[in-house]
Amino acid sequence: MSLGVRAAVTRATRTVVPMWPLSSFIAVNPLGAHESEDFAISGVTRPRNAYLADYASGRISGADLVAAVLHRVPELAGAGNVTLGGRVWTAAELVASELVHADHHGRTTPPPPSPDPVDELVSIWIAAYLDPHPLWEMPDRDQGLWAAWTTMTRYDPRLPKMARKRLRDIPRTADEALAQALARLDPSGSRTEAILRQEALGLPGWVAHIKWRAEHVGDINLTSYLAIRLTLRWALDLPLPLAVKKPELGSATVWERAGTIIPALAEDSASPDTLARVARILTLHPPHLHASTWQSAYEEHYRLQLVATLSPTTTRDLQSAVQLVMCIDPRSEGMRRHLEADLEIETYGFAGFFGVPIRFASYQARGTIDSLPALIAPRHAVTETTNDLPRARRRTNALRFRDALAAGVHASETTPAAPFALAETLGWFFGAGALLRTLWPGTIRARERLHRQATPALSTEVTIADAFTLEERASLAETAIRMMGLDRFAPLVVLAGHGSSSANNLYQSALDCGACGGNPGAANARAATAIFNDPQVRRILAGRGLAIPETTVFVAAEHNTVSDRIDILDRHLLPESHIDVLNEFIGTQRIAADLLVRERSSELPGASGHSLARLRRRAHDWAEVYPELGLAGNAAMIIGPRAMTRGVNLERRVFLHSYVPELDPDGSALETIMTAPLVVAQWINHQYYFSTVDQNRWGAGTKTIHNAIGTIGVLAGHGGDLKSGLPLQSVAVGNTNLHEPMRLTVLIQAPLDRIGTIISRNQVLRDLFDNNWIALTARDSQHSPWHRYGTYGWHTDTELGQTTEGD
Amino acid sequence: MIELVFVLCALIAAPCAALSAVLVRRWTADSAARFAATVVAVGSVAAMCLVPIRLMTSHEGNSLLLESLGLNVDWLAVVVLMLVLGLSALIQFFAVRYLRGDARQMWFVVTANLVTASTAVMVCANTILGFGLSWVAAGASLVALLAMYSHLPQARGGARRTAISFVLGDLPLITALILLAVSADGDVAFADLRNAMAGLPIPLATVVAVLLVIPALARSSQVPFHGWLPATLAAPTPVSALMHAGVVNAGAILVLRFSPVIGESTAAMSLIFFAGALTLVYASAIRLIKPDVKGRLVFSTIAQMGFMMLACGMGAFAAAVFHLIAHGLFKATLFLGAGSGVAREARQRAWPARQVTRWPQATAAIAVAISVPIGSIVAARVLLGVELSPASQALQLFVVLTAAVALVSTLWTHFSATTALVGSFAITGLAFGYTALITLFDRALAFGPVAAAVNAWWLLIPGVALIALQLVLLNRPGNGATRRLYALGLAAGTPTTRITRQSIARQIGAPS
Repeated sequence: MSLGVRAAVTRATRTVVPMWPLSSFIAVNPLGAHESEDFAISGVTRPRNAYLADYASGRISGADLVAAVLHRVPELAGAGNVTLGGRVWTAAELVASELVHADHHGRTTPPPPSPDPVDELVSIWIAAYLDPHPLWEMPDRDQGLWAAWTTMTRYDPRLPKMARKRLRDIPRTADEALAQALARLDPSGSRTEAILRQEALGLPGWVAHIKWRAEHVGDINLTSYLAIRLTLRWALDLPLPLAVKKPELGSATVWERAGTIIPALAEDSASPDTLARVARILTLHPPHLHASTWQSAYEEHYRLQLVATLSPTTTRDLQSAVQLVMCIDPRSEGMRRHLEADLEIETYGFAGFFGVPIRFASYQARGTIDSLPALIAPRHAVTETTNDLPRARRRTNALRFRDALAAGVHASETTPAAPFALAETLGWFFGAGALLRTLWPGTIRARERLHRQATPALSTEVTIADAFTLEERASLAETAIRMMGLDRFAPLVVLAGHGSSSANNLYQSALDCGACGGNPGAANARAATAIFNDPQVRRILAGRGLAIPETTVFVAAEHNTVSDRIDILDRHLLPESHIDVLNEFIGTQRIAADLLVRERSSELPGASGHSLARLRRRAHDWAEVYPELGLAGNAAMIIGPRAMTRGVNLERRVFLHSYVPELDPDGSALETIMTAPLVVAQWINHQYYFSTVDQNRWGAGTKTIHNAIGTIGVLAGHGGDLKSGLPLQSVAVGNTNLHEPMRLTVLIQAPLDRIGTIISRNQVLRDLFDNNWIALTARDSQHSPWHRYGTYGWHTDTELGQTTEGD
Repeated sequence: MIELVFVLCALIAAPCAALSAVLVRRWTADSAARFAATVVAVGSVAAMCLVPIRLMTSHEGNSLLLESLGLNVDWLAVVVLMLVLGLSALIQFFAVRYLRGDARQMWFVVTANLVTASTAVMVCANTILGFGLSWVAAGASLVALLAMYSHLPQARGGARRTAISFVLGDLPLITALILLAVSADGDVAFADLRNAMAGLPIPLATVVAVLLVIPALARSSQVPFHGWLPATLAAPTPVSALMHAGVVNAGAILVLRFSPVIGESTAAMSLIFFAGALTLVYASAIRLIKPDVKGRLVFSTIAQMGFMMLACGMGAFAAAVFHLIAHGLFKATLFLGAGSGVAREARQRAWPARQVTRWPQATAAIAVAISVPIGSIVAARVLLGVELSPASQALQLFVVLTAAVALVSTLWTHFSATTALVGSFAITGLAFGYTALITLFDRALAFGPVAAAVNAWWLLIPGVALIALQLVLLNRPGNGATRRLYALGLAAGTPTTRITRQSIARQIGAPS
């Protein structure tokens, strides 16, 4: 019985995408469950006037529309021409002009669901249950949500007496209760899944988070949630919520469409023959595709520009002094471009966790971070060790002292009678602090300096050798080298993870490295460095044909994406011989950092005319809602050697992953890149896309009214649904977009048949590419023509422009 | 003369800021916000300069000039002016960056400055009608400020609730003011209020006093008007900060200004005391159940205002003002920094795990926690040679309790010489500072003895209730009573929208 109920719940909530907590924000595609359908069916686009405005301003040209139409409906290439108004229109041009002149877009945003009283009654229970630091823990919380709720809901004063009497008498387990409620509401049992699905639409944010929590923590699940909702509905005699009607698409017939477009293009009326021909052509491009074709044209414009800038660059023969490996994050593109102005620096792109999935804890720390991509489960725990035990003891004592002070303040805040005098004594200091922080945000660094002096810094090493066996480490290193295409090694190789710093920012995790689970990448960089520097690992690698010279030293670093400084980590592990090279690199990096900060400031809101110091101060400013742009503007991913993109200004909009086909004979590295980093980039891209296109449905709203529940999520205002997606301030400034909503354009330089095999082998990639969620363009090598991956396989771009003569 | 200039400068700053934002059409919201913040900052500096000016000059001559303008800038007014203008400037500087790009930033600039302006004028008003007018204006501009995100249903609901509570509170005020004005044949200056009251028969005086207490309770969100403040969270953080720090304390200001009326009436003073005590316990309980950070801050404010009213009820007016100001700074900072939870957890994640406290250390911790606070408070009182009223002394029990709780948790978490020494020194220093500062407030504000003040022994009731609350918390498995309390608190903590209430009510009537 319970198995059937649970199965029904799982089926009904299949389309719910899990939502990670705020402390490790993972960007996901909110319509991820619909990736098996075409984007045109379930995807959302901007309204038609937005596209028309872009068309008028030149952002979308006629040629883009024609190309988009031809890519969508390749049959139009052979559909013949029509003569209208004195000129010959190809089929594609005709269809493209219909997009401009006629509105069959049809798609309107569905009206917001009518407010459901059950939502309000249930959301406070869920919030109180999931509160990570409750001051008064929910009675019976350890028995589970259903047990806790059943014992207390009978006292809920918002419910009428009749409802409360009914609620005294409900089954002991959630499964039984759900089955019973379903039986009462739908005796026939035919609409079970529909009812459950409709019920799960009430509080989408909470449902998404509960789904995540059921898999990762296990103290709550969707069955008990739905059981509570349906039991309440029965107890209150409330009707089931009405199913939201799908928005009506424009239902003009082909003849009507032809009748609309012909007068727009030709003055004189058309012969029935022409009408028929036009109608036949228009049939190939039905109205439900119009919106996504506009979006494709919007992206096509960018894609053409991007491909045009990738003119073949000469390969460099210089032996570089420093090689720098950075995350694929678009923000790294700016740093890599500025650093490569120095010809002795070579850069590579690789996933920010450097292939080392770990659960990391600082030296004797009480908490851990899961520093690995979201879809992998952590199986290795790494921490730090140190040789300097006296210093370590002093540090631990200093941290314990800070903990004790924090505990004292916390106790006086939370003990019922204590907060009053606390406000009276601490208020004065808080007021002075607030004044300093608001008017002179830089003073916070004085406070941090004081903390650093009081707490001795510790030189530590990561315990990577304890977590991974030698064989595992060697294979991690081998995979990384093959994936990046590192065939020669410079004397200094810098592995730079990235992290962000901002103050008073609930979404700070969204600015950190997504490949590291929403954490800064420092731990993984250090772990990977330790692996590569290990002589035993190098011996094994040499045996496999990947010899790292003795003179090469790896060093870990972290790129701070607000100040754009690359901080070197574990400097004490660097041998004397390489200190000069490192210092030179640091000097070059400082100059590049200043240039990059200046470049970014042109797009950063409110940053015009500010000095570099003031721009960097945004990292400490508690009033600043735009510390940096994050991944706003991300539009494309390029997988291939750096020679493809060196020197090209990609405007920090492109994910860059290094890949050299020659070093990857069996294509396994490419398959790993396409199934992991590419999917992560796609998730990020779609998260930004949907949060921009419809902030109200897929975004979290403005940060100014966000109200955090511990670190698991935010409410907007005093209660209600948990907010999912990116806040307004990540994608827009008021009504102006910061992020151009475009689906990811993927460019790969690798043998086409290899790419094709990989796609056909992986369901995820098939769905994404075949259903137009992201676009793929590829070429065999530097001098081959570009091919697009379309409905009927690979075709070159020039092929699309050809049409057959005649009818 | 100088004083007049500074006072006018302080009072004109906020209206000037609001007007300029409205009138200058070609401004961007950003420029308007910057200008307004700077102007109000200048006004707050002017208010701060009033302190040395008043200390140095005798202001007998000036007071006539001010009175002709309907203003009376006594020490209470100076202190509250500094608070309101200073906080408003701070919050507006914060909002310049925080609300950057927001479509409603201009609305914020105008209405926030209107709130500041009316509160400033209210505290400086010399006559009861002037006070009444600016009181109502402050309420109205606050409702306008709360309507900032009027496209959100939650914001509209919050503004509506606030408006209703304020109207329910302001009608008694208007009635009382009319009664007073009629009995005195015209507007009454606060200085003449006692004489005007002498002419009234006792029952009427009591009615007037009780009518005056109701708006104070409404504005400070006390029981039974406690429903509006929790509903106002759909406004941006700077709005909440301004409201919790500068506006909700208006209740105490009303009580203090009208103390010749209210302070003579046992009914009124008891009403204030018991409303404050009830709110304190109620809000403290609900605060413990709220899971969201801003919700906890809201109920903490309501409890703190309860404490303030309690102090007023006991006649400890200087303590109430001291509390009002310190709490304003405290709460504004906490609200502005409400987004730092994720960073705090990341920071605390790196700290070592707490060790289990052993018995000798635990005992030592308790011993220190009891002796140091009591000792330092007593020492402060003796060494500084202060004489405090019984009410103030009773309130100092809270100081001792807080210090004891803080010390015991600090030492329980990590018992070491450093912690003990630093903790003890800090508590001693704070105790001395607290005693000195509150004595300063007492002397400066110079409120006379209050005839009908509630006896300090009544403080035992809320005190015992709070201890009972703590025991309920510690009763871990709980019983039926604990569960009932929890369920009641959980429901009471979140406002239910009208739609939900109506849907449920409709279903009661419908045949099942």
